[in-house]
Amino acid sequence: MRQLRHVIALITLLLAATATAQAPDTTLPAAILNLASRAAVVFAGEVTAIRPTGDVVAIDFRVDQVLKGAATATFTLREWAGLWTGGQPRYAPGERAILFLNAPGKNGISSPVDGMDGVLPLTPTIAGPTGPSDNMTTAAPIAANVDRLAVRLQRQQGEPIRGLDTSFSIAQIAAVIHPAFAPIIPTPVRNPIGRPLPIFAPQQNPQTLSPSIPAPQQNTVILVAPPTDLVDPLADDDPAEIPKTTTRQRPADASR
Amino acid sequence: MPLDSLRRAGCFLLLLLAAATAHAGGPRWFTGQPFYTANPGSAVTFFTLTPRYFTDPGNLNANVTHAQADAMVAAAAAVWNVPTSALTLTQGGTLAEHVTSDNTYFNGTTVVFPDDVKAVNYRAIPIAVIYDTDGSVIDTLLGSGASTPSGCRQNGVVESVDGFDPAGTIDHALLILNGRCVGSSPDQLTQMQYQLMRAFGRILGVGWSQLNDNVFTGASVPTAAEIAHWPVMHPIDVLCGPYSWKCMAQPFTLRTDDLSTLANMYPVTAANLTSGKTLSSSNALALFGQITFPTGQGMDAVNVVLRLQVSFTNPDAFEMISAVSGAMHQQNAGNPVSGKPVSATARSGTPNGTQEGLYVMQSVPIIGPSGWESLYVTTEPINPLYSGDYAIAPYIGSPTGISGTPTTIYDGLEHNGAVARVDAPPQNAASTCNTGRDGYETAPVPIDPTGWWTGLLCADAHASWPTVNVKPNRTWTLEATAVDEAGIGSSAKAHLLLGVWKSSDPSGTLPTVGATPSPLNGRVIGMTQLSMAATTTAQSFRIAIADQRGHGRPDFVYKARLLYADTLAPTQLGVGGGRITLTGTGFRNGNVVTINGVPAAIISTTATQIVATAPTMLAANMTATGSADVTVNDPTTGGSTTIQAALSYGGTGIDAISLVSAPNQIETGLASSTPFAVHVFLSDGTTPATGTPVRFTASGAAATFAACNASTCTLTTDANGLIQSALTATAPGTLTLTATELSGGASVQATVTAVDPVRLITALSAPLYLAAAAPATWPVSVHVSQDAASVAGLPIIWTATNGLNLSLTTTLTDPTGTATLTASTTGLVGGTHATVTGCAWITLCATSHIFSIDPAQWVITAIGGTGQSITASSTLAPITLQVTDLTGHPLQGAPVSIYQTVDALQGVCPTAGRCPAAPVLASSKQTLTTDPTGRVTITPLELPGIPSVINIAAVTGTQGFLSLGLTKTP
Repeated sequence: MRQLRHVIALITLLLAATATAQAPDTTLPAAILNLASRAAVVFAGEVTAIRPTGDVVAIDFRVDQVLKGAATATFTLREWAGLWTGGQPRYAPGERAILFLNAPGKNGISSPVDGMDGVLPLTPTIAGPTGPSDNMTTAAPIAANVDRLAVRLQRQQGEPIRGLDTSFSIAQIAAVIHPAFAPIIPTPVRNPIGRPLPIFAPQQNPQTLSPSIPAPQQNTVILVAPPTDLVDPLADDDPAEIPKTTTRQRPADASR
Repeated sequence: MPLDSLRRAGCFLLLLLAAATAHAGGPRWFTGQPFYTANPGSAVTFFTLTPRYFTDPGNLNANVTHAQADAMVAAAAAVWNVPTSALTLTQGGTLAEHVTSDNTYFNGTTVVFPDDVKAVNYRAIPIAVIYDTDGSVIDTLLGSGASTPSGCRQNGVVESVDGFDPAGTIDHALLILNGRCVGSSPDQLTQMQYQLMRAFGRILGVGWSQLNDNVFTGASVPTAAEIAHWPVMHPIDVLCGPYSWKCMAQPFTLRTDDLSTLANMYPVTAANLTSGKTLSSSNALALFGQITFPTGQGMDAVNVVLRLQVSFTNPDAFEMISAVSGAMHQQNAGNPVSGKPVSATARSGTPNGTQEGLYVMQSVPIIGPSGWESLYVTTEPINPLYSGDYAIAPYIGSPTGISGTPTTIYDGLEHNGAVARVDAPPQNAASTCNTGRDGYETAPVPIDPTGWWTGLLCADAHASWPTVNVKPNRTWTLEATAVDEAGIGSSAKAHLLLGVWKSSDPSGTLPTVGATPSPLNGRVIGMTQLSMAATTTAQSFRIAIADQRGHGRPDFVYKARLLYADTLAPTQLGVGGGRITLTGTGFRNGNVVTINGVPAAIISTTATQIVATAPTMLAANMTATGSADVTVNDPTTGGSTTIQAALSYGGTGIDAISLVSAPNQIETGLASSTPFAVHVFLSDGTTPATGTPVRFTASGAAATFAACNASTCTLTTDANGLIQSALTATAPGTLTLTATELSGGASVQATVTAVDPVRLITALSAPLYLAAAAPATWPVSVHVSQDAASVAGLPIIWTATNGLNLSLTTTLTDPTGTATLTASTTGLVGGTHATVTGCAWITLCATSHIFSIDPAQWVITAIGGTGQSITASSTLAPITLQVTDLTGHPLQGAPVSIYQTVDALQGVCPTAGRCPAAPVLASSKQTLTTDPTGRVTITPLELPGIPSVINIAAVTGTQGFLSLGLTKTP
């Protein structure tokens, strides 16, 4: 037992020694990458149910796209009820978001990385048609609201917040998280058998990627070899494992 | 401010204070029923004015000993111990054990803490401060890795209030200090102290505050004074480097705003005044006011900031104190779609409407020696970034936007102890609460026939209740978009929920058919969208449109749309596809129609109809057996409506069309008795094509179809495949009638001749000859016929000349086709030609003539009774005279003077000598008037039994004379 205490003390000492304050991120992509680097799983999804149970609150998600880690078509996040102070809701059924989640701790409790900063709401970006004569044909994009990350960027007091009112598409978030394997096309987690080959964008430097940069061109993309399973091929950060990329014209129906 | 107003204001605030429920903006929570038993709208404060915290007995980590950690915690807590607040936050001791993941874990149901950390132990240990040396406690509660040093800005200090008392107090809280966030640098420990200070504020119930917000936003360069008055409880730090405390001037000093909130929540009063404390009301004034719409309704969620003008100085260029309107008002009253919320926070506030726009600043300091100062109250919207964990006061959701233009109100010369009221209604705010006729739960109203409508949710608790009828096997989408004052979609106005019931469902229940779980779930800003599945039978639905929070305001305008495809025609096409017509509601330009998922080419779109060309059977991936879904998609909103199994492709050819009937000849202006009729068959040539659109066209001479009152109609075949319409030509000529089956283009034609009808009008009255100046009355008639048949009921318009009088100006023909009226005159000048004219069909006329004959042209003749010679005992027959004009036309109304003498019968005169004159036995004179035949009848003057000679002379006009003699012999 004494040896165990010594070991713990040593580990604690090491941990304390490594505790260094980090400077804030300076760009939105860096802030996204910061979140992702500490998240065990990142996915885009929608809240389908909220179930308070004892001292935890279970939040059920329909997973639309996995960006990091492994998740099935549904995902349940179990949060310590202490975060829901006074019953204050942190999520709502129907809410769509990209979630950066810590790995579950002992007995399965988890939460978003950096609290609710690790939940990027997926919100509309345009106003809708006004009436029957409106001939708007644009498919309204849903994108991640990154305002909460914008306010975390390093700046001096009184310096305007950079990056407010911008949004990142899921593909752009994916590109930031895994620039070498940026998937443009949502990779559905349902019906994994026989799904189309995932299509990936050219490698980009996350430090230089800006929301003002338009999304990668839709007609020229880079494909990689088909993954062998559904697990995010980008989850492993070892560059040596990155499959070699080739270029070819994107098929006409690759948009779905 | 007038004295009366001051008194009223003072009474109002005193009432609030007396109720011990009202506090200024700044508290984190407010009480609300049913969880809290306290008066709703009261600030939730710690249950004691002397809360004690107990620290973990372990070290914070290898670098920071227990004692050092305690010192740091004491410094953070001490910030909240100020003279103007009765609160005293002190350390009560240490916990019984070092808290680690060994004694803190989740057992599958409950998060197990050491006993003295548990909320049930709040009387002994109200606040437990845990030194999470290795981060394992945080990792246990927040997930593995949550304690990592790179996350220390968020997880350096974890706070949780886990004990509330229904009496309206905070009983217990946890503060977990992440040992992994402090290394060898003193700045790191200071950073934790800064985070802990703010966390202490949070667990004491102090809310975030928006004041001098440009310090945070950088919208304008902040001055030193603004930085100095940026509250400690600002929602979000500015990150100028690794340590946020370095990004704030005097980070461990409460600002006036923080102190005001603290004085609100934990006031020092005469009753609790102790050594080292001063009355919160000392050297201060209280300020409150209403933010309202022009309708008088309070406007909540408006941040109110106060600047001072200290006596004999210029107005401050920085904001001193903030409050938020409606903080005490009920945050969520529930709605008919999702019901009432259950959590304590969601139900906070009072339903009292007078609190909806109320803001209160309880302790505004009087600065300077003069004892008075002026106030500048300014309204502003809550920064949208301040929601959720960073929410201002109780507005945890995205804050509602301000309506109108923010304003600044000046209030001068307020003094120590004053209770000032300053209302600050925004300018140009939404000004009507008229929701129109938008139904009730028990009496919903039909939607606009186009499927597009605009509504207003006003006032609180108001919901709109439309109703719709839906046919079976049709999906549909309901969309409602909250819009701002400019009509643009907004997420800062109403948060709309949609619910659907069957119309027959009882009221007062939650939606039984469908509902949106949350607002703003659409793909465009401000939109809430509900997709409804098809039903197997026709249904009538009741719909509710409501604000999620149960709010209703003059600026809660929404635009709604029911995207619903009701009918498809035709329901079967040839293999080559063809034209289809969808009728429904909520369509718009830009909608896409698909057949079995394959797009159809849009030809035209209105709100209620889309005409498109369906793809071929092959292109639609269909076969001759089976039916395709027909869907209308809105690519922008994602809304859709589908008629399931609506369209089939039949056979290999196109539909056939054949002529059933067509008139050979029609008369202009008359609907044809024979309709233009066609029969449409499927490609098999025998099966009637039902519901098939067919276009009727009349070309050549002008003509219209009765079915649409136009020369081109698109009609739909009936169950027998038949379609028909009568035809009316408006001009003579040759007509070409064409019927085109729109899905396949097959057509059939017929030629029709349009002719004008043969119409006659005949004057039935012969010319009338009147004696000059003779009054007369006579009938005038015309007869009307069309195509040799009398026309009954036709109006005849009558006119007359030369002063003739007519009994009527319009008469109708009788069943014989005759129209009659009476004409009259009081006498015409001789030589006059007058007329009476009757006209039918406006232009077709007949004229009767009247001639007035001058007296010089009157001629009198005897036409009966002349030459009589009878015995004296017999009686003479009457004499008939007639007056005519020179050409023999009998004259009506001519006066005739008659002279008669009776002479004795003289016998034969002697052959020589004078023949003696016969004696006159009798004579007479009379005047008669000719009848319509120009006649008068004279009765001879005679003496019975006396042989005599009767001499008669008649005179008329100036020239007419006649004489004759009658004899009565012995």
